[in-house]
Amino acid sequence: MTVTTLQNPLREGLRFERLPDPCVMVIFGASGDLTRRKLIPALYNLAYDGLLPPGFSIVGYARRPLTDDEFRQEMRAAVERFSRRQPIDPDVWETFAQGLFYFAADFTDASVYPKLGEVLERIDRERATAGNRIFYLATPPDAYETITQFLGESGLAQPTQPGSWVRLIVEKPFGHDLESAITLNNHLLRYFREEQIYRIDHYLGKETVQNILALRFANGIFEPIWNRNYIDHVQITVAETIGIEGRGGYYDRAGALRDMVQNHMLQLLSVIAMEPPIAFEADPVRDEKVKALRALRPLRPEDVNELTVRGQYGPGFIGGRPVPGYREEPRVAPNSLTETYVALKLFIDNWRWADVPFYLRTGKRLPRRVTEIAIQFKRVPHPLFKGMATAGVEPNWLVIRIQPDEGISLNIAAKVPGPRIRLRTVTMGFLYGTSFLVQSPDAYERLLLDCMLGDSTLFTRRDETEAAWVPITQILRGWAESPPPEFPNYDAGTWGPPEAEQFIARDGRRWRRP
Amino acid sequence: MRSTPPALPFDIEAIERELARLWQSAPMADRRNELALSRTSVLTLFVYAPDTSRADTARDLISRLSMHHPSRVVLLVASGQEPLEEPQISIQCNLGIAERYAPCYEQITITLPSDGMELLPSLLIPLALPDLPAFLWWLGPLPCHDRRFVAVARAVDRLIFDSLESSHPIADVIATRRLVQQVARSTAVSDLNWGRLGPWQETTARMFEIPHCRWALEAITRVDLRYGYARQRLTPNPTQALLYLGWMANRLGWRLASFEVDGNSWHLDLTAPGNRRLSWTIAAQPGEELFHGQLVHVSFVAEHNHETASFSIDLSGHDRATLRLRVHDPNHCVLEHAFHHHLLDLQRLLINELQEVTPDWLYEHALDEATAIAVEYRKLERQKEH
Repeated sequence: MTVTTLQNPLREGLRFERLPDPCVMVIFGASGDLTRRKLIPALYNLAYDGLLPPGFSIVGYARRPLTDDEFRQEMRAAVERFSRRQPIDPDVWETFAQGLFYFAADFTDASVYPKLGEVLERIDRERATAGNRIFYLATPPDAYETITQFLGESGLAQPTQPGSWVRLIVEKPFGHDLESAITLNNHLLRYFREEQIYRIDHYLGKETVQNILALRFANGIFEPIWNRNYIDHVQITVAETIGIEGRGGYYDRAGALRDMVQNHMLQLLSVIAMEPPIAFEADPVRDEKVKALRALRPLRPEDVNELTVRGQYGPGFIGGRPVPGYREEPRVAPNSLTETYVALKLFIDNWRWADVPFYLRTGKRLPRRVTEIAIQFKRVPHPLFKGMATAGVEPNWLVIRIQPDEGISLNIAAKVPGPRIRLRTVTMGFLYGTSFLVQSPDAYERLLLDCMLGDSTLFTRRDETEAAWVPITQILRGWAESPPPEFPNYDAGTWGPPEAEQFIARDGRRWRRP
Repeated sequence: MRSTPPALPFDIEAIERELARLWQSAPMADRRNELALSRTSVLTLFVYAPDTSRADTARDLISRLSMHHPSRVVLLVASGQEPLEEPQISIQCNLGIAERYAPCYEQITITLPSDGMELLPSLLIPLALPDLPAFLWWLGPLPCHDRRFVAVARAVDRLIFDSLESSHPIADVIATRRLVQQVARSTAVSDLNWGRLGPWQETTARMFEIPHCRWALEAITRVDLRYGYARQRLTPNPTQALLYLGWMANRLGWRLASFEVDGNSWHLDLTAPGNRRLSWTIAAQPGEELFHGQLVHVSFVAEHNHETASFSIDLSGHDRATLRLRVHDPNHCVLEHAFHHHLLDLQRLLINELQEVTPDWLYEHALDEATAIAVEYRKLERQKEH
């Protein structure tokens, strides 16, 4: 990790103990949505909070011809629209904008990369960025290979000054199946070393996801019961009320399994299932996560239909308003067979989790926006309180909510006061966002800062990405060998297809109502 | 001989009973809004207000703080009026913060006699939530010369005060250091005025992290520091400036060599490791009330082998809510850097302090150095008097 803490006696003991080295971030795809909606607002907020080093600079790289000043104006408009902080602070903006530059070029043209190198060297001289670079691939994924190849061939992928560094941030989707992910990894590794590559999954930047590690490994009471002896099953739900929001072209090729399960949901599963790492550092944490993913029980094609449910929404109502069905969405094929809902059951074949089912479900146009991990504990071995006394008493649930209302709740049975023995379930809730007097930073802010600091703990490593593709590719193969589903099979505004209820009911369980 | 303060007209245990009754009678959910009332405790915050005007300030801040503060707040108001009022006890729940939960906090207001210092420990100890840190935010000048105050400070885990409120800044710096030492085993002491230095320290540290300016840290020859002085105040308050100098002296191993005072300007010669000399000027700059006692400008000059670099840090922006660093290095390169600070936002300063539960060793070291300079200043003043 490159942190200047120890070099400067004035740094020791200050509250900002992690300040990155001065650097330049080159954003490929600077005219795209991600840059405007997420990256520039996140970087501005980091500047506002004083978390960026002096001299920090951004080079926006895109085809559209723009001057530096025009680019600055566009980015200011983006910050005014999408930043979590309003209004914009003119003084902070002025110095932030001094470090904003634009490079108009086609990234498929190899001849322009040396020119990009010249621009970066000039910025190094003028803004003391010392040869430190981050290349951010915010382009469509089909451009990744070309850009990284030309970066490599022009010498930009490696440090040019002693002590300097070069990093690459890659956005999802990272491949569309195991084979393409391996191909892409092999390609990237021809030009960059693994420790230079930061594969971003913004779910890992969410505070509550990081808090799962604190909950598990900073409290003595949970880890002893965090295993097959006490846990009945785990449910991970990522429910969205929105549809595909104009992303029909991409989504119709990807579907819910690739868009949500392969990355976000398997990341959640891995932090829930991992063994304690030997240290809270990038490789020990990722070593344990990848072990959990590798322990996922293989899905044979003939079992896939038993272990998964696919759905696609038809027209319906969300929040009292009519919404179209998936096949009526723009840029979606009218006979599309893409799943907008998926439920699956996975097993982790290791000592801790043997035979504990992990139920995952995600869908679009569901009735409530919620992301949560719910852990159901086994019932008591001997029912001491019988009959009516325990009617309606739920088993113990530990629920970790990622959104909304980030926090943790625990259901326990308690006696209703009075002479009779009657038990009821009570929920003890802890709202993460209202307990520490501070606003959680946006996930991108956290991840961009971590990358500048060289801390890759919250980024996915090559083996992790590939391990996550293994079950997804098995499911995709199983689906390809099955007859096409009869879509649409759930109305927008419902909790998915009826088959999903039967799917879990077969195991004598039911989905939580989140 | 001090008179004994009047006994409080209520039973402290009755406060807990009343809170328990309120929680029992509160509906556990607001069914109309589908909200569950949420009770989470992270700390106990005691707030002492020496008069009703400061109590109003505190109430306003507590109300805003409570939006993100699901804990117990005990407001202790010295009223000076007899008879004393009954405590006010309430549970406040905030709707509209979360989609499904309404975080709640407990608020207790207790009126005290104006000289109720001796009573305080007997209130603080039983009203603190068990197993959670207890903070005491002391509004107004810290009674650090009052021996009874040591017992008050020892009753909590962290004492928060603001040396900007001091009317005898130099004497109070010395007395505060004594207090910090006296309570060190039980209580951490936080000065909001030290908290205000955070952005200045951060900016100072980072200017020497700019790659081609790192050499300058060991080549500083001159520092010019100015702090605000509102003329309507009788005396300037150089505490923040002293703490800043104390911090740098501690981190860089500087020692005071000589000291001259010229009105509201101080000229100090310091010795750095290697017997290098550097000069400091600390001057009060007349200005508006809002910046009384606050740093408004720091500049450094560093010289080495005929190379010179200069740095300056200023408050900037139309509301002066930004700290701006300007760097002129030997390559004639000019670099500017700015970020938002929270020097004027009392709520943010307080929140920062409430997040800390361990002693701030950096503050304690800076205070040691500041005290050494304050003692020298007092010697000079005494010599003048004689």
